[in-house]
Amino acid sequence: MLSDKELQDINAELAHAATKASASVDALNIVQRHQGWVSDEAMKDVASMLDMTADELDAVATFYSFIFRRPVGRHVILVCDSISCYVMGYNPLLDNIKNRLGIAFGETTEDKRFTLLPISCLGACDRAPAIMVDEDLYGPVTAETMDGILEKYK
Amino acid sequence: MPNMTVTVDGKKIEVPMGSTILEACTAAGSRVPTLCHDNKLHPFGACRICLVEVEGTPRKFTPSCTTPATDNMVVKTTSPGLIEARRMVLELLLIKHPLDCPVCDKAGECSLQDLVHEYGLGPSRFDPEKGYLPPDYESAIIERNISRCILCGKCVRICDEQNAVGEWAFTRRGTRARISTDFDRPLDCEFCGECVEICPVGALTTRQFKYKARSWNLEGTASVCNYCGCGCGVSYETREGRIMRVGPARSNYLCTKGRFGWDAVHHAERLTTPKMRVNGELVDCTWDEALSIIATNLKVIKSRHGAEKIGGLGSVRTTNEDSYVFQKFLRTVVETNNIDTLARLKTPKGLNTTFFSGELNKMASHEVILVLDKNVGEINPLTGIEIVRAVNKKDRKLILVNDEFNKFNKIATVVLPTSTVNALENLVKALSSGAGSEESKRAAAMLKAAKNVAIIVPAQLSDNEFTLIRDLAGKLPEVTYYPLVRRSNFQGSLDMGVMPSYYPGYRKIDETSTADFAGLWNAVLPETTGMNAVEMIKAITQGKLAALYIMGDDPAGSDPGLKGILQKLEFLVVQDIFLTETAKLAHVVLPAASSTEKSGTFTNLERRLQQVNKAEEPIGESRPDWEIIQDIAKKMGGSMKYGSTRDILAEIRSVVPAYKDLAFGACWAREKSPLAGMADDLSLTSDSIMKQEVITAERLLFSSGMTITRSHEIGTIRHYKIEV
Repeated sequence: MLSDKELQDINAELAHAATKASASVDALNIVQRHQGWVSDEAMKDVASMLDMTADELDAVATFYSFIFRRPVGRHVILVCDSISCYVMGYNPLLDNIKNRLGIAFGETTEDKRFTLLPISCLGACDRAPAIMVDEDLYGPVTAETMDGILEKYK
Repeated sequence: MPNMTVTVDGKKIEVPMGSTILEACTAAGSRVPTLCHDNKLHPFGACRICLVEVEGTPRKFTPSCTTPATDNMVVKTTSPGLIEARRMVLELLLIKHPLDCPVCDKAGECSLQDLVHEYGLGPSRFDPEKGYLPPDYESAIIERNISRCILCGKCVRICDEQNAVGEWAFTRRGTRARISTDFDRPLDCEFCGECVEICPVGALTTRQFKYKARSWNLEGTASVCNYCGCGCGVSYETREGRIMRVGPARSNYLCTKGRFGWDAVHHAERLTTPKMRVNGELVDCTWDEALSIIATNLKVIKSRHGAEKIGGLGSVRTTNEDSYVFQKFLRTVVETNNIDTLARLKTPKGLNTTFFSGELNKMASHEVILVLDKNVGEINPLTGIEIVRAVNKKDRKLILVNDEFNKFNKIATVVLPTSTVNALENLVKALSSGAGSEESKRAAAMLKAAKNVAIIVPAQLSDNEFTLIRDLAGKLPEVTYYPLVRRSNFQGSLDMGVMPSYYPGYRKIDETSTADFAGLWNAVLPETTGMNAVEMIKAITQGKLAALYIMGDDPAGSDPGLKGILQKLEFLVVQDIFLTETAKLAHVVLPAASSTEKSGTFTNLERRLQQVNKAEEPIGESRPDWEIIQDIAKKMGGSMKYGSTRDILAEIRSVVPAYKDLAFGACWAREKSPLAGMADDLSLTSDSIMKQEVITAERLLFSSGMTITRSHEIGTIRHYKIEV
């Protein structure tokens, strides 16, 4: 079941969408903003609002790495694994994060604070190695700056 | 449309403006390999195997399936560079492909296998990544083997563009992309198998054909599907004289019944020998015994009670030849006009008098399509598909009357969410006075603006609805009707005169026509018209009908209430392919050959004459219906001497004017019927019999009388319940 607020927000998006399906990414983002991730149930509900099959909407959702199809922690750390970041110190940076949080890719810390995920190119090669926490981009990230970054997210 | 000149491999040709390069190449006779392209679908450009060289363009290679050709374009379809490029595409595809051709059912008819063979790949330059995902056996009928998939997207597109179902979609991205249902649940769709048919590799296969045969061992026999009035062309693919699978005859659409439901005829319960009732039990007997008993009993009853106490119920599934011989036997040998089919109870009023179907493949030539029966896609799947094609490919407008929700809602321009009768009233009102709801007014405006309109006439009509449709049509410039017809040869049975008041060709029975037919058949004919099916059932209860001959119908199975009535008969003969509920009541049961086991013709709802061809030998001692009846006629002193169905068809052509010069594959013109435009009503109504809609499967779409219940494959379809 979508909440009233979610329904309202999605309907607001639909009001100015050229076709219902064209609002799919926005609608998914709205659900994610409210629930943290997009469950199968929510997917079906949104799909029926957009006159799409759940299948078609899932195709959109699974295409985008910023739509989460599994529960995530309060904050999501995305580590860029593309070539520039890789060359500029991806491996030590990743080890550092893994050691700090005690989790591997795809896992969430026990206190549900962080989820760690890989991502391809964040478009910040000039600041490699780069990471993204929620909607904030950081780079170049070193072992030293990592402390300050994580502190900001409770 | 003006033409343009394109030179392909040095050959100059003219193609219409707007053609793609691929179409130009095909027209020039140059073969360009494709994997993701199909003429039924919008161009997609996923596989990159159809690359060609276009002179004077900055690009090195151009994908031909998505690029429009231009005037004076010079195209090369093969060159060392192109071969290298195509080899590279194949090499990339094979990184993940398991190359399990020896156990893949697609081997021998696989586009990927053919191309790899043609382009002769050696060892790959890339590390293979095999065994990506295990096969998915969870769905009914269709198996999915993702590892073999080349992501051409044909299944996704045909399910959406042609079927408006959208069961498949690409999920995930990049190297992890795959086709799946939502959250990988088992399929819960129409199970038409079009995705399997169009799959260029073995990613989608059917359980029915699994490990059954190799494609190169199969022999095709073109015939006609026996499940609904659409009469789709099928190809029975046999190995050593036994059907292994069924495909389309001319790359046409097939629904689940047509593609998978045929296995009913292979069911273990098929009747293989005649049976007669001895001390209350049905026991096997010889043909000679069975036919002698029938001939003797019919003769005795005729002399004791009179021929008017004998009746015959024909089938709407047997061939024209069977039906013709059946009615001729009853009229000339038994000498009664008590001839009918129960299927007339399930027929729209006005069929073959007011409503003559247009050709299905011309659906898209109508600017607006008005659907008055929400079950159109369930009753006549091909009609439904043609509507979706008209909307999706030709941008036709669809007005849908539907008080529920189904796939047509997604493609409809206007939905009238009410009953058929209400919608019709509203439309007539909106057309004449401009009053009504927003939707009715929009729909009426669309109808008014349209040059021509197609109206899908419901499978059953009340008198009121019938009048309203005529009123509505009267206000429109040009209307083509598409009445829904449930059974495969319903039209043919009517054409052949399996009716108590009409001779073949809709000649009303009167003195003149009786004299004509007495001359044509060289026989004495009954002077009065006979009882119709409803009257015959009533006559049994009143003791006015002593004997009944049922060919290919199962009244007791469709309406259990009829069981007790049929038991009152002095003598009941049932000729069928199964020991049906009705056959269990019979005094003599005769095993008939199924439509896969005999030749003849069907006439579909478009009045198209189609050839049914024998693909298998009749099972056990079963025989074609007409042969059985001819033998009984001979034993009763009749003079039928047909050597084959061709002789019968020749006689039909001489007796029924509409069939005189009718070519196979052609539809007879409505003007050929003496009833065209008349007030005659060829449908029947009854308050008591066959009241229930018989749905013998999970969904109306998967039902088709009692026969389909014997199909193993259709029986495996179970609706997937989503557990939350």
